[in-house]
Amino acid sequence: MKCSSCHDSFIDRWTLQDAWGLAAAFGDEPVEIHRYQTSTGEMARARFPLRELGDIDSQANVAARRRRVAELLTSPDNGLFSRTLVNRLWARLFGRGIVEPLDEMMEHEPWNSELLDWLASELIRQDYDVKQMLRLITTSQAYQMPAVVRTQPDESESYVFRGPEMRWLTAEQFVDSLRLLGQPPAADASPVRLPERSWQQTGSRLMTMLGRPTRDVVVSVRVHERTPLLALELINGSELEDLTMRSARIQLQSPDTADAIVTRVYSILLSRRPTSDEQRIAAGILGSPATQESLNELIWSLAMLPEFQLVP
Amino acid sequence: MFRNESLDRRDCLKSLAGAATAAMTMNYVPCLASAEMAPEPTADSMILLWMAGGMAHTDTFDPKHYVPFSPGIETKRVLSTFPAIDTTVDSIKFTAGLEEIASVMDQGTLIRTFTCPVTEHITHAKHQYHWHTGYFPPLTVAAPHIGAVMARTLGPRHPDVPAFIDIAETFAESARETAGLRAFLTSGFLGAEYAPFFVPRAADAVRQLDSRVGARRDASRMRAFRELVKASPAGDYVSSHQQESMLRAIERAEQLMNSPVAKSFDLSLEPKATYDYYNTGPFGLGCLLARRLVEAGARFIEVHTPYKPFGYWDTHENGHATMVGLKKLIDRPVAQLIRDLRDRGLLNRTLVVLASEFSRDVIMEGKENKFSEGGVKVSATMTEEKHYGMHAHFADAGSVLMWGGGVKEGVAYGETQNEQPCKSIANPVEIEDLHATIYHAMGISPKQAYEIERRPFYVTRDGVGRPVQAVLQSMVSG
Repeated sequence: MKCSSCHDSFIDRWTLQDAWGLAAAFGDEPVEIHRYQTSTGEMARARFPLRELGDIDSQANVAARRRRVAELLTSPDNGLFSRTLVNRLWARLFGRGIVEPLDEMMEHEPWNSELLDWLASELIRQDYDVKQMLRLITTSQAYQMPAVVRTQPDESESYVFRGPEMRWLTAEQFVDSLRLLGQPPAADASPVRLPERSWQQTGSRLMTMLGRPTRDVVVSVRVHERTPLLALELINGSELEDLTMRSARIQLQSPDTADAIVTRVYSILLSRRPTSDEQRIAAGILGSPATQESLNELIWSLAMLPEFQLVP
Repeated sequence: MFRNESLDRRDCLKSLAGAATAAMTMNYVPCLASAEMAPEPTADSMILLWMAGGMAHTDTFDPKHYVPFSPGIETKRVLSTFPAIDTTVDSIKFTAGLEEIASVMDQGTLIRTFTCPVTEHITHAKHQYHWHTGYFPPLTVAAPHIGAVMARTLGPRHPDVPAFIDIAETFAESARETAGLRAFLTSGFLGAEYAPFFVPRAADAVRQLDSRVGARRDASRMRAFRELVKASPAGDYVSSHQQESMLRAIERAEQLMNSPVAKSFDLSLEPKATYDYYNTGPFGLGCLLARRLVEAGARFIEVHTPYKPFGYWDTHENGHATMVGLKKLIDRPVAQLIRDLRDRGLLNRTLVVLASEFSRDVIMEGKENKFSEGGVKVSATMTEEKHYGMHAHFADAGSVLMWGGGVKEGVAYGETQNEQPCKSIANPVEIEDLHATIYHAMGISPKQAYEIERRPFYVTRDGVGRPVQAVLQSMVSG
């Protein structure tokens, strides 16, 4: 709606009245329609941009108007809502959407409209249960295909699906994976859990560098670029050093052999066991006996691996 | 003087470098052809000295009638709380406490009439964002900081020195999002490639490059890392653009750490006398670091005085007493920075700008006839010393100092009223024109544009900025 808050959009169907009508539906006070910065003298009437779905009573109080917006937004007849939602879920799991760019649903054709329609109707049938959708997608053969590297243009029209795309760990995933390693292993070998996930915590310098936006900026698609400045933070920043140091200390507290510790570190960070080659290199890095410093070296090196930072 | 060839060597190299970067990063923002030719640069580097929090002009670089404190004085009679002092330019006076900067005034320009928009609430966050990006929030796109624009448009001066360096103590204080990482300190939609390199503490800046874990551990760690990359079975199937970009980033970082220019981050290499002279605190050392980085080949450096609500330049009470300390913080290092740059023959190609988001007034909040809501309550008389000073946010005039890099020497521009409120009465300068002036010196057109969401984004708002000819040595066209 960004464009249409100043003028009728040139690229999709939203008009100036649509944008201000939506604002009026949320507003405590009457709002006057502005074209660019100039007032038009016309007061906005509360309305939902997809007018075919129904009207909003502009005389109703603000709570009722907002409730009505929510109803229209999530109405099963609102195909845009369910398609937008499944498109974002798909993009999270596959590295790109069925319609791409994600924020331009109205402007681009899906590369497979049957797929998008079917997923959207499944979402409605499952009563908007996101977990069910995640189950549906992740248990599909499409999701389980080997990962591919993006070499194609961004627009969805010319895209050909060849499998999920390699994508970077988010800042929170990156940090949480390492924090997991800093949790004492459970005695009964049950999975280690974090008391709190980093998305629940305020941001930090490291997370900002890894692409977590600050809250004062609206960001719907994160940027994950590997810049020298990020690399410097990873090499020299105190946050990562503290994380890996702590992990090394906790891991060394277990009575396990060095080989067993290496195996555990690999399975937590890379979700696999080390190869015999890797086991040998890791033993060399750890030295004998392993110290907190040498284990820190190993953990840091693994955290820097593209294999760790990329999700296939 | 303007270039008349359509594509000279600099542009050609820039576009080649751009193409290479474009291939590397998927999020490369295209540059739109500038509507007018880029001006010939008169500066290669810029240092921005940021007085965060709102620096009162009548208590710093624009003295008005001085009224000493006595209990019961009428508030509106208090225009300056410091007496005026001479500078090396006869017609320009400062206020007491700025004697050192006064001694280098003959080498720079003073703009007395920086004015900024007044919205309902005149706030630090919005006005700092506005000053640094040229755009007033809320915005529909994340606007880049002027340093990021320079990093993107001009590139680094030296391949091993980050193009955009930000020296701010604030980052060391806390990891809180709002306090620690302010929205304007970003490359915005231009992408992470042009983001600032943050130096939280100038005093130990070198630790960011001089491996934190020590050279021995760093070397063994990098060896371990390389072996593990080779051994990783993922290497067979993720040998990809992403994998390479990670490895290249690490190599570039290592190159930076091992480069001879890393030494320029090390303030301990300065003679003790110099270090001590600059060392009025983190800001002073930031000035010293900025000088060393310009020598090494930095493009854009910002040095902040710490920003803390109701602290430093955010003087909401005890304005006079606080101001005494603030002047001590900046006077020596700023003046010495100018002298050092001059003595090293760098001042003529280095633009130094000292500025703040807005000014302060003894009564007025906002602008005359356009009061800002939520301002401080001021009583008609001053009964206690803590009332003495400039406390209310004021947007109708503010001082900006500029030195070197093609700005005129010993010149003042703009005029402010000699009675309450001390607003701009001739030649007001808004941010668009101030940025246009800065960009002009750096060789960037104010109409330079980048494409975002299929629309042009101009480096000055809507491309309207016009350089202030009166403060520039070179001729501005048109």
